[in-house]
Amino acid sequence: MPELHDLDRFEDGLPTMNPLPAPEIRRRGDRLRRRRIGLVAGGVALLAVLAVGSPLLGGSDDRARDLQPAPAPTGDAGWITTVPDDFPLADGFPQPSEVRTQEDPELEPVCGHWQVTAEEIKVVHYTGESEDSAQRVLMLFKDSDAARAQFAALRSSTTSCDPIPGAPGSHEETSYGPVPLDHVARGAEETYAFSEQIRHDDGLVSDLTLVEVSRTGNALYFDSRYTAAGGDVVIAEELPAMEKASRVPLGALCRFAQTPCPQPATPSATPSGS
Amino acid sequence: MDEAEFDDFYTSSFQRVVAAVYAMIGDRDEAQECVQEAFVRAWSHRRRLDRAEHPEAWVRTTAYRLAVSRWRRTVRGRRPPDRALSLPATAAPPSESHVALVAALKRLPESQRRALVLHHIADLPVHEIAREVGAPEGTVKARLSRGRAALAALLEEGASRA
Repeated sequence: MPELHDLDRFEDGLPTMNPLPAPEIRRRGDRLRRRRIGLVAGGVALLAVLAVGSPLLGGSDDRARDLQPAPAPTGDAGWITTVPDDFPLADGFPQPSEVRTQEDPELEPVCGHWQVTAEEIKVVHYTGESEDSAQRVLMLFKDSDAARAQFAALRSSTTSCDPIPGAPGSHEETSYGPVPLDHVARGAEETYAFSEQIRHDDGLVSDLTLVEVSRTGNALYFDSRYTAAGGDVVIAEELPAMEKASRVPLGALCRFAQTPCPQPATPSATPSGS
Repeated sequence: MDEAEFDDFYTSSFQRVVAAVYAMIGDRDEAQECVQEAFVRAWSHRRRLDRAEHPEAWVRTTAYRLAVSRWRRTVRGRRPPDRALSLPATAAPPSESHVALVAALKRLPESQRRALVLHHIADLPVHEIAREVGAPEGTVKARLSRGRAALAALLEEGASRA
């Protein structure tokens, strides 16, 4: 049987492995790099597609959209149901990021059951080099009642989640919980936040995913960040940083209110609370 | 970092990084895949890697986080495990002693296991471990001390059963 000092020569006794040759690793790295650059370019192209309005993306009236920017399409009751081309979803977002529309976005974390029935969904995603990541999602619903119901359903779904135990022997569990915040400072009609974290049995908290959800009118705006660290101190640092970075898109949410703001909001028009 | 430098870096550190990640996660094939993927990312970000003070630590941390992420995705059952870099398992299986040691390590809290692996297998001094895991040196020393005691007890328990 092994003894404690065998740790010091752990590598020596391991059988030789057969790694991929170094040129193959480089070739795959080059391909990954090209794909990353392509995603950024693709994101810009997708934004352009959204700007002119594609029938596949839910636009019902294409007249003259290829000639000049059209006003944002509205539903039967006057609600905007297509994301305006100038909505600043990626403002203040880390780069490079991938922008796309998505019918069934993967919202992380969602521990309960939540069915999305949005008219249009636009997503911006970023993954850093060390698995840090961020995501913003804008969902437009047929009216404010639908958005309000979705907001309530998501809130209910994510605040009643039991911890998920880790693998056998891992001494950890994934826990969920609401995060208190001053919703008035966000400038939306209603906002809440929740977290997913891994709690280890020695008290360490890691792998924080922090999600802030805001609703104004018929729009839901999700802002989430993942960091390897966790705990109350990290949450306290991340929340104001998220609010600051999201100030422009949060300010622009008023365009989807029952009484829309006339101009896209600017950072100075957004409440500055932290 | 040019191609030759990267190839040297990959060749000289691959086995060591796999050993550390294997000891951390308990699955040698998974460790090998994650380390290879971390090296792929390292090459794709080689300009930043040039600026990294400790590129091997970058690769090791990235590989470990990849392993944790893959495990989480698999457990959640929402995504299949990434198998882009899968290789047929052609290497000989680890020895009985390695398997027993890894099994004992798996029973330690993650923070203690990581400290032990970085110190005894990756051969890092305490201050470098502290930087890599983002904890004060005193905390790392405590984790090492508790981890050694707990691991010794677990190994002794295993020996008495055998």
